[in-house]
Amino acid sequence: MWLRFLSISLALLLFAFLVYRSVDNLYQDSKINVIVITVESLRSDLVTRGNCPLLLKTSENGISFTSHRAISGWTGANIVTLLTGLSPFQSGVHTRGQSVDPSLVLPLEQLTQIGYTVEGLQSFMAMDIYRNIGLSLNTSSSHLKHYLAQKKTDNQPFFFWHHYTNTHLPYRASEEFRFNWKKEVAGSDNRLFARLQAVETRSVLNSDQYRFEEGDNAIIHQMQSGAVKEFDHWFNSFWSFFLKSGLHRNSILIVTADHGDEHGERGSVGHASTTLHGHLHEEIVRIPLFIWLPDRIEHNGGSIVQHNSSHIDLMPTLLSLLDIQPEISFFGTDLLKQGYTGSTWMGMTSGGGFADPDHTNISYFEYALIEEELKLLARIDKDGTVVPRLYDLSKDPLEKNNLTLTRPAETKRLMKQLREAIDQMVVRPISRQPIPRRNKGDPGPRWVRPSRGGPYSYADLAGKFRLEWSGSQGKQYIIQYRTGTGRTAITGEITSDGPVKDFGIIERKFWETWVVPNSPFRLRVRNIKQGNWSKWIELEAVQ
Amino acid sequence: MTPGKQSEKASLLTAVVTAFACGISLIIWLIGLLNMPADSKKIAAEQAYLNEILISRSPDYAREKLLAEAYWLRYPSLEANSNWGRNGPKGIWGPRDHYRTHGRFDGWIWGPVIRPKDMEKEKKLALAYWNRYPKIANSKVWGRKSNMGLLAPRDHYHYVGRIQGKKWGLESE
Repeated sequence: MWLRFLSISLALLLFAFLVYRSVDNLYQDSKINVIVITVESLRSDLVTRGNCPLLLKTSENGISFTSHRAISGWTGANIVTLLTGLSPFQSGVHTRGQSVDPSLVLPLEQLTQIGYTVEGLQSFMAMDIYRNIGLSLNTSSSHLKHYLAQKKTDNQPFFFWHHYTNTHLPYRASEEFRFNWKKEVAGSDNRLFARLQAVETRSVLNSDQYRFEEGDNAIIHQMQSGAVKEFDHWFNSFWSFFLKSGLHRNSILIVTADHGDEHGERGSVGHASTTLHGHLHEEIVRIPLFIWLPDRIEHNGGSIVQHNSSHIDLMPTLLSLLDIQPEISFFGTDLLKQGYTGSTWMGMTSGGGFADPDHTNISYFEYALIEEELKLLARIDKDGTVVPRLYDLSKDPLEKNNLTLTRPAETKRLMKQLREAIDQMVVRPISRQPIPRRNKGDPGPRWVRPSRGGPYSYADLAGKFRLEWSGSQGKQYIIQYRTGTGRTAITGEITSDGPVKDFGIIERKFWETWVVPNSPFRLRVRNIKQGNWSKWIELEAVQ
Repeated sequence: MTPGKQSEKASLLTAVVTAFACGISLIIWLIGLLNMPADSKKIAAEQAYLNEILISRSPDYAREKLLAEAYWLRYPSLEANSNWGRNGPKGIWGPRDHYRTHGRFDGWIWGPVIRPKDMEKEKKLALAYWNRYPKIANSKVWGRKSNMGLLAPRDHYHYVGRIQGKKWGLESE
């Protein structure tokens, strides 16, 4: 009798389990994936039929936002806004070492709670700026298409962020796409040649050191266009994968930029983190935005949306599409909501962005606001000096004629609005840990990987970068770093859970464009609560 | 209750449970059927494409390809082999299989070929190595007429020579 009872019970249990699996599979199938691709430094006037024929052709199947704006002048602050829906005024992330308030339940964390995998693959995503937003760095996968194919095969919902970096300075596209500027300026003076040479070879062009003239603009524009054409080629390959893999049937795809780049319009080339002279003029903030929705999502938006939109609107739009109620209050709006006609745009940036020479005492902030056709920019120095500029974008889209003197009342009114936002602005602490008492005789952690200082080539690291030191799992450590030399040197701290900081895969182009120019890297580590620092280790990245 | 009635009740319970299980299974099957994409050929093509990406883009594949290419370059007779060669049934996994079953017992080398950026300088270094060690210069694998060409001397030094205490560099160094 008991044997019969046992058999029936087991059969029922097995049946219940199979029912659960089937229902769960059907439920997972109904969830929609999200892929966000951000393109580095891509200003909207570079997205033309000449530079991006494939992207623009593809965009005919999606929704194009023709008046989209970034919210800051550097990557980190913009990405935090994109992935959280918090504007920099709310997030408090204004330079390196800052991260959003961990007590907030942010949209990506909500996605994780309902079964999404929220990941990126690129090493810089391990920086403190992206902590607490619900994003994880996947260090085991090395290739974007391989990762997405795996996710598609696993049939588990995911949110994936990829940042295309090859459009960043230096503007040196691959041979096939490169603009031959040398031919263009043959016979010109040596100073122009030197300036353009710097644009083609340097990832950072500090404004104090490199001053550009208005005449340089057209050639620099062409130089970055080459890199944009290369991106278009890359996107075409990605789009083909997106369709052939079937991901398009249950994924939302978003393509936008972190911010734009100045091409000498105001004497600099680059953006806040590379010029250390950040501002929020249109060449920096006007960027493209495209959204592709799977057929099963019905929406009320048209295929071309001309109303103002900005990065703060993206997360409200996504959550609405995924039918998720946010746990934080957004400043932004669902861009596909019926009747949406745009809103007031407000942005802010620190002068030096990620690379501010003294990130603990930022020299100035630039704030901006657009109301209808008027745009107010205000630079506020650390001593309190305020320099406002007012432009009429409908008559002066290049922002050349400052109207503060001729339209003082409007300047005052908009400045008052901006002041209200500034007064409520959040500033997150920079992760600088108090120094504990030194323990006599404690040599501090010992470097395990790399075990020696000195030069390292890309091949030496086999494309992967991982720091490891002697220590215990479950303890927190702090890594202090100093990169570069002289005026471009940057110092900061990164925290780590456990004695390993895995930065995952580093692409060769990233290595050549970012890692080598910022070399050498001086690092030391210690337990966050007690003990001494390890010895400094100096790593030199070579080609 | 009589045994007959008890048995009747048990049969009824069994019938109800069976009908319930069949009903639930049918509902799930129907939902699955309704959600099944109409074009199953398309789905099969997508899955085949995904499998291809999973194999060809996997980190293991890239590494394996690098090692296989190096093995074939070093031992060109194997590259043409019908079992372990480039067109053999094992594909890029052929060289590893050969090394495991034969190569390692014959002292063959399993490792990537180093490709220096500056080939002008490499040429001088390679000639110096061959001049210094004529036996290597005449070797089938690492010699002047080998398949590896100028890459051969460094390959020999890296995997064999340095362990034997051989010198790498120009005569003047």
